[in-house]
Amino acid sequence: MISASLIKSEFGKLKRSSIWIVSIIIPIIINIFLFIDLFLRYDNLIVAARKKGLNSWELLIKENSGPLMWLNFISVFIAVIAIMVYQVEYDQGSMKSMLSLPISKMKIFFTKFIIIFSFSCIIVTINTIGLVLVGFIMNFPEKLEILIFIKYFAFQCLGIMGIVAIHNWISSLFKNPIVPITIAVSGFIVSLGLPHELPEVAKFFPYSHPIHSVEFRFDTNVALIGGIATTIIFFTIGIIEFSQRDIL
Amino acid sequence: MTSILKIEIMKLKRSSVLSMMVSLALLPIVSGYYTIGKFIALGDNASWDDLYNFSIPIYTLVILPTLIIISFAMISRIEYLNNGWKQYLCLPVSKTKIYISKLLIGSFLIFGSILVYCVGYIIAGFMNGLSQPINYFILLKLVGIFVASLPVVVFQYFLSMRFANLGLPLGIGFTFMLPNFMVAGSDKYYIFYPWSYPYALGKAEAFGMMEITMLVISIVVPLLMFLFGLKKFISKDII
Repeated sequence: MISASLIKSEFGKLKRSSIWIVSIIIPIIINIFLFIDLFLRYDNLIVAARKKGLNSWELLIKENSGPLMWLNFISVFIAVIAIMVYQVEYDQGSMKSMLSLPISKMKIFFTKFIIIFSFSCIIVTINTIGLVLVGFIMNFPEKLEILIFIKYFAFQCLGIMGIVAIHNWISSLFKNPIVPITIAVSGFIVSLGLPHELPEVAKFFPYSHPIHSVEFRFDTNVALIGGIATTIIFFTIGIIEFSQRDIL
Repeated sequence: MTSILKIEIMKLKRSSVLSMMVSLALLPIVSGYYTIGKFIALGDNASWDDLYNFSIPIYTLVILPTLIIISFAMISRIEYLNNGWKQYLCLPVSKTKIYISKLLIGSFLIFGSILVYCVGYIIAGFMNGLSQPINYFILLKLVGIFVASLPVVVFQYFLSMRFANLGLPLGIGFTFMLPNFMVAGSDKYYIFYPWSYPYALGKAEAFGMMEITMLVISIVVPLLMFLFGLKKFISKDII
């Protein structure tokens, strides 16, 4: 299903696009804010964290996913990336030319999914590396437990997969970028309260799957199973609709 | 100037920005309405202040910044699509007037959203059967929230006009919106972060020294940003 030349051509289109700036700048700025937060409040935060049995590294993850809402908000960044990937086609009118080439629509749709997922993973990677760097700069007394961060990273990638599948389809469906952004923001708002108010319902809500990446706060199986199930469902719906869509 | 404003309104009239503005502004009201309804059903007393306190945080922290980011991105995108800028700037219209009129239209949209919130708030209150008189300070605070949002308004306007690619103003806008949740909770540091001003003003109990400082910053900083953006726009090559 994957065509290396298609992926190459997609990356070629985005080579000089600002999608790279967005994917790199966003997590760096977030990490800077996290550093400022910890620099100013570490002494108070660590006392409260230790009472809950958390060490400094876990506190770092807690602050990133809690007050900074990184895991809730990542869906909005994914929506922005998906919009940028599809707007390249819509702005230049190249979608029609692309679909008139002898390439299966399924391959095109799958390649777009891979591209959006890759950029989303870049964001997650930089954020996770940034967290570790913040820990080192802050000179945490505890030794780095790398496994916590590997798990945090892996479950995030799995948790966002479903959102990528949703936005890959929505962004291909609507030329107007307002629609996917509004859906992502609404998903973000609902995900703020849902895992705490109705945890059973949250398991079936794709925008709350990344929140379940934090091992010591939620059940990570939700990120794993929910992410994969949502991907299968929305990817299948998307591919059926995209294959049947009139290109004119 | 009036004719340019009319043209700008016509451009937006058939876009989905208006429907988004209304639906998003009513979202926190609906949430507040149901929360208050639960209170009343349990036999507790509910007031206008409760309705406000349950709806304003989500409005000032999420809805308002989102509306600002999207509205200005769409206002400039209309021109970037199909080489609209070239056609527009070839007309005998001053660049300054174009820049001001687009900013005014965007600001009207934001003010309109606050008005929709305000009307929704009053209707939701009456629907919940709140019998006490409305606290007019809340309505005054809503005007304050508009003024406090001006730094973000002008910043997003600058980004949207500066970059043809839609992703940059959206990405940067949402990135700066995110720390809002953290900064807004602090009593000391929010003054250094203009993105948190609407929330800080929304929860203020009176207009004290800090609130007036915020309002002054909210007028001076956007003014400087506006002049900088205007200078950049005037010197921009249309080709």
